[in-house]
Formats: sequence, C-alpha cells, structure tokens
Amino acid sequence: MNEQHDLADAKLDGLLRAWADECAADSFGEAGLLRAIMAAAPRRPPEVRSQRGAWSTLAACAAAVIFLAVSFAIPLSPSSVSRTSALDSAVASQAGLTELWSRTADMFGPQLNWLCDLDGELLLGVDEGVATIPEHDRAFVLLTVRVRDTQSGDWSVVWTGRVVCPLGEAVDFVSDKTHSGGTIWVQSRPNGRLVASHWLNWPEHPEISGSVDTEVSSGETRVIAEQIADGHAIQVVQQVWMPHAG
Amino acid sequence: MNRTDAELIEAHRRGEASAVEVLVARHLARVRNLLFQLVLDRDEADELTQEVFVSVLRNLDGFRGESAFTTWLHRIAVNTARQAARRTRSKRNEVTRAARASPDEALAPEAELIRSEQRDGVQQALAKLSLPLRSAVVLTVMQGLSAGDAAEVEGCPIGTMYWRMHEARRLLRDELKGWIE
Repeated sequence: MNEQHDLADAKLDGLLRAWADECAADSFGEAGLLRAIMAAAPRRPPEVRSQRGAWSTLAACAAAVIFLAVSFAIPLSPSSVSRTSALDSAVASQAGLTELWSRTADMFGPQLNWLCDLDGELLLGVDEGVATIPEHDRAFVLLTVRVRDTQSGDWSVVWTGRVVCPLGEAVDFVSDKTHSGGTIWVQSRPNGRLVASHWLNWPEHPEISGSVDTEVSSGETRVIAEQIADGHAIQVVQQVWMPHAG
Repeated sequence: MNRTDAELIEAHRRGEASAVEVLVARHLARVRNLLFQLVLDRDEADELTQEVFVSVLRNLDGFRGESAFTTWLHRIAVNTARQAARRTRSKRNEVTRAARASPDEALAPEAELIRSEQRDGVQQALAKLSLPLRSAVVLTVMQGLSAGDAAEVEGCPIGTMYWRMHEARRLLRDELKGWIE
C-alpha cells in the first residue's frame, strides 16, 4: 500500500514538475520587467516602516472594542473562572463569540479580517483594501485549557481563546498576559468537514505546546491535547464551526 | 567573476550602483516562475514580481542575513501572493492559459494536444487548492525546497507544512488520477 502511494506521489510530482517546466516564463518580457523594477527602486535611503503606528491603531481599536463590549455587555472570556465542564461551557460560548464578532464587524466593516480574544485580551486583524470575505468563508474557533483538581476531580478552566479567521488563512496570536501564543489555520474540505491546524506555545505548560492537526465536523468539540501525570491532568479542548454549516 | 548574494548586498551597501541590478537579474526568473505557480496568471505574476523586488530593494538595508537571501526572497514572494489573493478573491478559480504563442490547435499534432490538455488539467487542479496548500506543493515539489525551508518561508511549524503537503498531494492525486494511473 505504501509502495503504491509512493509511486503515485512520484508520478504526481513528475507531472507537477513537467507543468512547471512547460509554464516557465521565457526571457521575453524579462528585460522590460527588470527596467521597471530598477526604475521603481528607491534612490534614497529606504523608508523605515515603523510597526508601532500600526499596533497603536490596533491597540486603540482593541481598547474601543473592549469599551464597547463592556457597554453592550458582550462577555469577553473571563480569566481563572472555575467551571465544572469546559465542554458544556464551550457550547454555551458559541453565541458569545458570534455576538462579539458581529459587534466588532459592525464597527470595522469589511476591513476586519480576523479576531482573537485571548482570555480577555483582544487582538484584531484589520486590512485596508481587502475584498469582503463572505461569512460562510469564516471559521469560529474556541480553545479552552482546563486542569483537573487531583482531590475533587473537578475540571477548572485556566485559559480560553476565541478566534474568528478566514478559511485557509493562518492567524498568528500572542498573549502578553500569559506569554503564550500560536498559530491557527482552518480549512474546509469538499466533504464538508473542517481541518484545523494549531501550533500552541505556552511556556507555563510546555506539555501541551506543539502542533496539532485535526479533522472535525463543524461544531464538534474535541480534546486536542492532553497530559496526565501523577493525578494531574491538563487538556486543550477545541471547538470549530462555520456559522452557516449544517 | 560571480559574486555571491551576500557580496552583492554588501557592495550595494557600500554604494556600488550596479550591484543590486545584478542581484535582481539573478533571481528575477525564479521569482517570476514562483509567483506564476502561486497565482496561476501570467500578467498578475509579472505585476507581483515587480512588487516583490521593489519591496526587496526598499528593505535591503534591513536584511541582516539571519536567513539565506533566497529564503527571505521566497518569503516576500509568498506573502505578496497571499495579499494579492485577498484582494482578488473572486479570481481564485479562474484559470488562464500560461502558453505563449502556439500554433493553431486544430492543426497541432496529437501529442501537442494531449500535452496542452495535461497542462490545463494540472493548472485547473492547482487552482482548486487553497493558497496554503498550493504554496506547500509549489515550494517543495516545484521549487525544490525542503519541508523545513518551506515551513520557514511560510512561517508555520514543520508539522503543519508536512500536513499541507500531504493534503495537497491527496487532493491533486484525486483530481489528476486520469494522468497518473
């Protein structure tokens, strides 16, 4: 079976390389392209693009949204709230994330590309000049990290992350509060299922750091990382859905 | 005498006017082909090639050499293609012919017709992939990067890159089974 697969891959790769060779641009137009590039090249020292301006805008936007959230009583994920079952509360939080996205999108319009709420810390991705992304091309992601008390056996939530991102585009996030971060990427498959790829980096909990790829149905809740040692247990629970999926 | 990329960048920093033109000319065809493989449109690829190199020249003084120049160049090209895909999302599935001037197909020999169909078939199959999946197979299969280098270009973990390669190949094998079996 593996040999058949390898052979098919070898043939496919050969086909792709043949296509690349056939479609390779000839030198026609290259001289003109080179002239255009050199004509557009900077003649004085290059501009130093400061990222600070962009982040100041984002920080201001985030502050505005948090203010609005408080005004409209949209719950951002509270930190260190004890819950008996993250899986139950994850389902309850779907509506909260949907509402947060809706309010934020109303404020920023089609320029709003993605949103991350990292345990109450809000980050926004805003792109000027971007084409409107249809709502059915978005993925909603809930990530919950929970630990189990060794004595009572109860689970309590220690961190929550909520992300809305365009399908097929990676969103990188960093939490200054917990010094954690990661990348989320969600893609839909022709069979209607979703593939979610995460890379988590959490210095406080290296046992659940790393990359995870899962294929799920829209709305499915799943434990994607788990570590159990000496009676202590820690889990990462994921729920991914598309708003108009069946 | 062929100077290395690092030597040309250093010469540029010392004020040698022609060094950067040599650098651009050296990598122009490769970037042009890479961008075509990502966006599948010749005119758009040429526009983005110009955009990539203007960005490279604008930021060349800030290039620290922590990665190879080609890795940095690939990264800018992939990011430029990604931004362009957001701007022109409606064109994602549009397939444009990559062929240069070709003879009248009605009179072309059968072999040329078959090759032309195969070329279009591969291009249509690539167009159906999302950009991250297409990029994974373009960087590793067509551009010859290792999975690690491709992951560095994409800014993703190597595990994610392996997954994307696997998924892209699976979808392409399905689309192109008539040409592979």
